[in-house]
Amino acid sequence: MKRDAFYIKIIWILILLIAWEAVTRLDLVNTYILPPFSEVIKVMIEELDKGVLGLQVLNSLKIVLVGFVVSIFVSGILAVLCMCTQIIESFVRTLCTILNPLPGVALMPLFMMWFGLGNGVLLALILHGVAWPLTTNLLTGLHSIPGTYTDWADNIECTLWNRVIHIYFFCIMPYLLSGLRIGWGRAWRALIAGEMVFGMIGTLGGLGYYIYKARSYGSMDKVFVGIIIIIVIGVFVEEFLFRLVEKYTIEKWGMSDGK
Amino acid sequence: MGNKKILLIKNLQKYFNVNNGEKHVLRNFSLDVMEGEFVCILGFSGCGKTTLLRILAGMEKQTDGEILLEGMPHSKPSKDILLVFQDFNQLFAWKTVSENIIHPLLATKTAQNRIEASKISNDLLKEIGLEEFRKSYPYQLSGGMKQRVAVARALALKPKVLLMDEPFAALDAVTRKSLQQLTKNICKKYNVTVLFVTHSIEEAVLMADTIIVLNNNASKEESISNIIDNQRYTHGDEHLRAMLVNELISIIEGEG
Repeated sequence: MKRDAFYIKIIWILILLIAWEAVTRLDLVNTYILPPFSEVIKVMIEELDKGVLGLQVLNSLKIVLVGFVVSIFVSGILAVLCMCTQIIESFVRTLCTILNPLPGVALMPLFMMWFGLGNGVLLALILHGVAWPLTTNLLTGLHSIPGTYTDWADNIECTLWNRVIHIYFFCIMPYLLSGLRIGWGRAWRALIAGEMVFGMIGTLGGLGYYIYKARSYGSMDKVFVGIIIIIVIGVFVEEFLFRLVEKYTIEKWGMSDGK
Repeated sequence: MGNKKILLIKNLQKYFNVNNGEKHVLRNFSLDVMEGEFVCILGFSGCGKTTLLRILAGMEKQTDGEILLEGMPHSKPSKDILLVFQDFNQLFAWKTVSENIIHPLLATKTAQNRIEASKISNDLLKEIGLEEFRKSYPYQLSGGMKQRVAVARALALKPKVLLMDEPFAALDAVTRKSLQQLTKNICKKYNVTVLFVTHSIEEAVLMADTIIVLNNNASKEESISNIIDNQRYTHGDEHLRAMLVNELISIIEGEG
């Protein structure tokens, strides 16, 4: 069933690409505004061949990865502190309620003032995108640990460390993965938006800056190259990496699909 | 069953504060349990059976009274008194059947290393007839199989007393019967002292050396020691069994 859904998605994507190519080849649209798909792929190969685009993609991935790791660390610490006292939990939950719905774009001017124009501002954007939904999910997970598990851990006098690595971590795994999925989507969007707004950060900038520059030079084909790469990376992480981790963890253990 | 008293429960009291009042769950409950004895605790829902087990396991504090394990006060959870729950989902979902037994063996240092723990796990799984499921995850097992593993997981730690809180209550009649016999045999083989809570009079009669009837308001308890010679029962003395069931029903109805 899942495999069928995957193939159907592939078929839809192929139909969209054929339609894109057809409308441009039949001159139904201005090819400057919408260049043919085949042209975009040709430009993409040329650009990747030059090497700069590849480095810009790596820059973006590096920042998002660092931001993601920092966010997981911060959310983990917040969740542990929340488990210590109810006052901290109440405070952190209030922060999550206030800040979770706030789009990162709205905070850009503020972050720019606070962190200047550098990787710090992008990391702050990613942290803001990931930390709140992840912390909320972790707290829900920690509160959902079944009583029979904690009773058994008490019964066999498990040390705190043993509980954390053998019981709690696995109990919260479904919530952790769902929080990371939400966080990834938000981090990736925040990063591209940040790079487009702030322009070049570092010596080359990232993928967002590539699109920003292509638009400034009026190279719509390159804009589409940037967009396609963003889509490919986004889909790869969401549909492949996360699916793979889920398949070999919570699905394998019967902890998903209500098994 | 030995002659040594392993567990002494003296004047145990437990009440909860409910709506500015006190709800007594246990009142002056006393019991001496012999080493290797299989004690079944019968009673109505809400009469305090589960609370009694949780107090004995150190998971809840009694309001008053004393528990002595081999003469020493016992108040905290420890691997000496282990509890098997009614819940089918007490095994860790992310660990295989074998790992569910190995983890507590290593965590409690009952086994010195993984090889020793694996051997203990394999021996026990053979004993409960689930050897070929050792690499399965709990969700791949039936309810009865999960409960068998839960019992094996507890027995692996060689507890002095094993507490069982209606472990077979949600099982079908056939599975239940086979598990009753298996549990009884394996506990006798490992010479474990057992306190087994059940709703079922038949189950209590089949399994117990001693049956304790907790009455509804927990004001007093009836103990019928050595109510049945299980050897005779396994030889099919249906008349004796029916007589005991009737006797217990009359005790429970009289107190309820």
